[in-house]
Amino acid sequence: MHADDSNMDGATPSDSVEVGATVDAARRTLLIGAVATSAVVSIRPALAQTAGSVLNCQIPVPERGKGMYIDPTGKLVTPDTPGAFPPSPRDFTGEEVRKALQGSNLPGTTREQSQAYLNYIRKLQNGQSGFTCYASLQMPRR
Amino acid sequence: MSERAYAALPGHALKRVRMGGLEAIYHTPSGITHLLAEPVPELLDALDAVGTDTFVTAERLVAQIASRFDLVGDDPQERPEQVLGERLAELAALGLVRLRAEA
Repeated sequence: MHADDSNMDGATPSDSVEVGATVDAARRTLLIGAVATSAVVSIRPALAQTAGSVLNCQIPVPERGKGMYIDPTGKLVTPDTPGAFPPSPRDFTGEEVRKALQGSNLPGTTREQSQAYLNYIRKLQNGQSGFTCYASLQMPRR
Repeated sequence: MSERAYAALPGHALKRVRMGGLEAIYHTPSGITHLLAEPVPELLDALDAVGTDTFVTAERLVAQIASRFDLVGDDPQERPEQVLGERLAELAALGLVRLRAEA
């Protein structure tokens, strides 16, 4: 239909009026810009950007200042609860948690204590300290 | 001469939301969001209208778009096929359209 390219220089409305007998009432002008003008901005997921810092980010178990113990299912309980573990004296790094999720114990913990802490970490939700760190462990490595 | 031809992705690969003059488009396979300005959403619309599995050249797509719009470029020296072809190549590089080189 547009075999003759010279007709396509610029925007000449007369070109397209020939195409159909009825011209759409909604027809409007489309600004196509120039060759070098990009019209796309890309936003990568925020969590993906943290992938580089996964090894060093911190996950407190549990959040500070609560005075709560952690039971084997990862729930926060009062310190007098039988079978519950005291809070971890230090935060765990993303790398330590990643290794623990693959089967080893968190540093300085027994098998049962490590499982209880991991169960707590698995229950972390958005807004809780350490959530973003834990969530970024779930992201596939690039 | 080999010519590049483009086709739309399957509908479920993209989630598109109109935001005033811009369009936010979420690319499900990569999880990346793109903000598109005119004329890119119109290009995607035109490819959709052609059909998901139909590959078309920039030239044919321009003919399709010109039947609905008056095309206005920044530089009269640049042909619409050239300008929109550049945008299509960009979309293909981002994975938002499929690309095929035609013999």
